[in-house]
Amino acid sequence: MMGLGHIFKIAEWNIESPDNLKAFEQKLFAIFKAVEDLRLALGEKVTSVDLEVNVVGRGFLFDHRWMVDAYGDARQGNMKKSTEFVAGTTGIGLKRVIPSPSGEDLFENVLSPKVILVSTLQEALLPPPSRYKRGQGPGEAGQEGRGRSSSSKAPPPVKEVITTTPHSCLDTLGLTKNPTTAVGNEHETLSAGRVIVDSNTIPSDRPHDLGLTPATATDEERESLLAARAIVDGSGAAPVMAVIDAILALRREITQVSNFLAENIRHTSYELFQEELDRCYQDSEKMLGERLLKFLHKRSEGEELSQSLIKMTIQLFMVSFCASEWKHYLDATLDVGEC
Amino acid sequence: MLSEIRGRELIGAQVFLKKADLLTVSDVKDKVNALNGENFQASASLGESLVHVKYELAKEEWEAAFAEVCRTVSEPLARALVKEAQKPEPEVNPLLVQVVLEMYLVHFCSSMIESWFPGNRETSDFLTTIYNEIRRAGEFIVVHYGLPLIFFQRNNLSPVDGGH
Repeated sequence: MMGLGHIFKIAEWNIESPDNLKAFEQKLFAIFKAVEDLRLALGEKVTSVDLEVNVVGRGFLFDHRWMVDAYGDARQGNMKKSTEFVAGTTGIGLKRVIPSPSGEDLFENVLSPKVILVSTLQEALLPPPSRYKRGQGPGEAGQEGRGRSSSSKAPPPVKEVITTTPHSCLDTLGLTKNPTTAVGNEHETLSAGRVIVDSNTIPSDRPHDLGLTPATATDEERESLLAARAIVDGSGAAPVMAVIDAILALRREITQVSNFLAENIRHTSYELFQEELDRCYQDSEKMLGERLLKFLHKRSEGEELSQSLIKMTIQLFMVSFCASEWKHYLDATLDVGEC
Repeated sequence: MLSEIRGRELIGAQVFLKKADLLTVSDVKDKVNALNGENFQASASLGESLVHVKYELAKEEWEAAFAEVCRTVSEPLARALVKEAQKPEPEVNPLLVQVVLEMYLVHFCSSMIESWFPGNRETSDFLTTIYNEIRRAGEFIVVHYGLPLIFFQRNNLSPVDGGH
């Protein structure tokens, strides 16, 4: 355990009190016991197969077939993660080694090791961004910071038996000698807002999904932003990633609600006074924008409803509503904006 | 002549071959999970009790520590730790602490579990190479000589860093 002391020295950490140190030492005994137990089990108690612990080194491409992203979230599917690099292993796995005459490392996965991705560490290490960029998908941002390169080796093609090949040029991994360059773009989009892109089909001047997209900040707005971020980040009670998770959860809820309404809304003709209609129009314009409103009005003349149009309209409305609530709460700044 | 030799090897190996596994693979998975759970808890517990402290280290001492951290949790992460510590108002980043401690414990535990001879790295590497070669050959002799070596390693476990 000398190595732990070395980590403390270079990171400038120390244990706060002797009681905490004693508590940690107690936990070390449990770890040593578990190590010895596992060592005996692998060496003496299972002899019919070659079981070994499985630890993923730095530089491997993430492979969901035999790795678990321990600190991941629902932002990306597994296919997306397969282009990301592993920073290290945080949970030991188990594999059955298959002897290969050619000397190739072959194994069958028994228990997937838990890994942490380079991108996750980047997010944890970067200071809170001074501004966010909107309308940029997560995959479009800062690819150079993730260490992707054309020479990256593809995941192994075999499904059951896995060969492992670490990537050879990952000196920086984004936690780099020149981190400013490497991760500069990476963090600007925390959770990008999705935008309706097919303007021929659906006219929209607003994003219909939530992204943390501050408007162009005046000095006053910037101060408010900093104050809000201090609340969010300051105590560590709600780290940036937790906020992103909350945003994603809200997105899912909005999608579910809009799907439900799209399936259940029916066309109905209302008899309204002109004043009443004008007021509705004004309110709706604030939430949905003029172009979409005109489009909806035009479509209302026909009796047939488009489910996708309803779905997107509901999403736009709910995003605008949520953003207006946040504005009220934070005294301006967070804005779904215009793209 | 060769058949006689192989025959004797088979008789010797029966000691091991006829012995059923004492644990199932599922049991072993449980043990791995138990170890991971202990590591996670220890990391989380330690992470909560860490504070930032400025050490006065000689250059050689710092460099030795840095080299060791590079070996255990990788150079990029070691650099990240240094960078965090050098910030104007350094704070202990909870996620970084958790990850670094878990990675270190994984490194420590896996090296203890995998090592043929934890007390001596050279010996351990030598035995590992031999065993891998035997296993690669894929012949029966793998079991005949491999298992005694495994038994040999199990009796030399001690909770020390052992040159790792």
